[in-house]
Amino acid sequence: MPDGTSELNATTISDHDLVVLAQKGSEKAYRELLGRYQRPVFSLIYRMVRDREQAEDLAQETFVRVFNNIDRYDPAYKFSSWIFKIATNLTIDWIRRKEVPTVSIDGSRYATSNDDIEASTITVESDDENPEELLESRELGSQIEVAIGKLRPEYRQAIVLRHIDDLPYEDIAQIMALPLGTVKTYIHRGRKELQELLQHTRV
Amino acid sequence: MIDETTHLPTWTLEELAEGTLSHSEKALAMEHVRQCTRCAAEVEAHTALFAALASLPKFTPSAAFGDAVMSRVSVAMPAAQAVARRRWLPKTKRGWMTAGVGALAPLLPLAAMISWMSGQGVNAGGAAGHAWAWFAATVWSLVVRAAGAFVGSGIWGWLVTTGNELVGGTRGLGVAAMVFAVAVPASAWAMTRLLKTPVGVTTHAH
Repeated sequence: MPDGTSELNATTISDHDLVVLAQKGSEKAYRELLGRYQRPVFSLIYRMVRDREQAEDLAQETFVRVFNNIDRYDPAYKFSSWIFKIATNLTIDWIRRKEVPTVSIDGSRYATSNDDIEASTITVESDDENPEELLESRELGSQIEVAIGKLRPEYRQAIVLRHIDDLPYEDIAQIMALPLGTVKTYIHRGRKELQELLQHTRV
Repeated sequence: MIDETTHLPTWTLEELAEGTLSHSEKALAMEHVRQCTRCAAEVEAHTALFAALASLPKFTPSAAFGDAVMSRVSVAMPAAQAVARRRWLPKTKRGWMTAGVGALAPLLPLAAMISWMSGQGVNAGGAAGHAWAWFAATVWSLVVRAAGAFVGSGIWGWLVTTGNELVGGTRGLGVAAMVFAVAVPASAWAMTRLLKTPVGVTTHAH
C-alpha cells in the first residue's frame, strides 16, 4: 500500500489505496477518485432525473458527501458500491420529493406483480414534466434513451447499473439495498418493458 | 433429445444472451436454441438489446464540476484529523478503562487538598474518604430535596386523601401501590417480549 502522495500512480493504484491516501489528506487522491467516478456517477443520475442541471447538483452533492465522510469509509465494501449507493439514495429521494405534488404515472412502487403495476398505473397530464419533454433533450433523445426514461425509477436504476455500468448483480443488490432476487426481478421486468417499448424499432 | 414443443424460460434465454449461464447449462441451452427458431429469435432480441444498452455513452458533467466539488470539500482537515484522532482513541475495553482512570486521576490531588484543608493530613485514605463523604452527602441532599419537593407539590396529599377513601384506608393505598409496583414492570416486560417476537411466531389461543 502506498504511504504518500509521491507514490500515487493513477494508472495502477486501487480505489482502496486512493481512499487511504485521501484520508491522509492527499488532494491528488481526491482528484483521482473524482476523475474515475464523475462520468459513471453523473451518467447514472442524469439518466434517472433526465435533467442535466439537476443531475450536476445531485452528482456534486454525492461527491461532497463521500469526500467529507471519507474517514468513515468501510473497506469491507467496494468504493464503487459506496459512491453509487449514495448517488442512488440522493437521486431516489429527489425523485420521490418531486413526485409528491403529482401522481405517479408509472404505477405504484409497492406493486409486486405486473398486474399490480398495471392496476396502479394512472395517466395524468402534468405541467411539471411529461414524456414529450424528454424528447427535447438531444443527449437523451435516442429511442432507447427515451425508453429507459419511461421505466419506473427502480427498474431504470437497475437496468443502468447492470447494462451501462456493467456491475454484477450482487453489487447492484448492495447499492439498491435490496435482496438479490428482487434486483433480478427488476432487471428482468425492465428488459421486458424496454423490448415492448422498442418493438417497433430495430433494437 | 430436445423437445421442440416446449421452449426455454425467458430468464434462461436472457442468461444465455448475457453469458451468465454455467458451461454445462450453456451447452444444454445452445443445443435447444440451435433447433428452436422461437427461442433463437428471443436470444437474438435479448443480445441486440444488451448490445444497444452497452453502447450507450457515459455523459460528462460540465468542465467546472470538479472544482465545484473540491471547493466544498475540506481536503485533509476532516479526514486526516479524524484518522489521527482515531489513532489515539482506545481500541479495547481495557484501553477505555485505563483512559477513564487517567481522566479521573487529576481529581485525586483535589481530594487530597480538601482532606488537608480539613486538617486530617494529606494521605490517600483520607482523600478517598473525603471524596466518598462528599459524594454521599451530595446524593443524600438531592434525595431529601426531591422528597421535599414531592411532598410540597400536593401530590402526596392527594394520594393520602384518595387512599383514605379506598377500602382499607391508608393501608389500602399501600396495597394498591404494591400491586402497581409489580404490575407496571410486569406489563412492560410482557410488551417488550411481544414487540421482540417476530411476525408468525406469536401464538394465539384457539
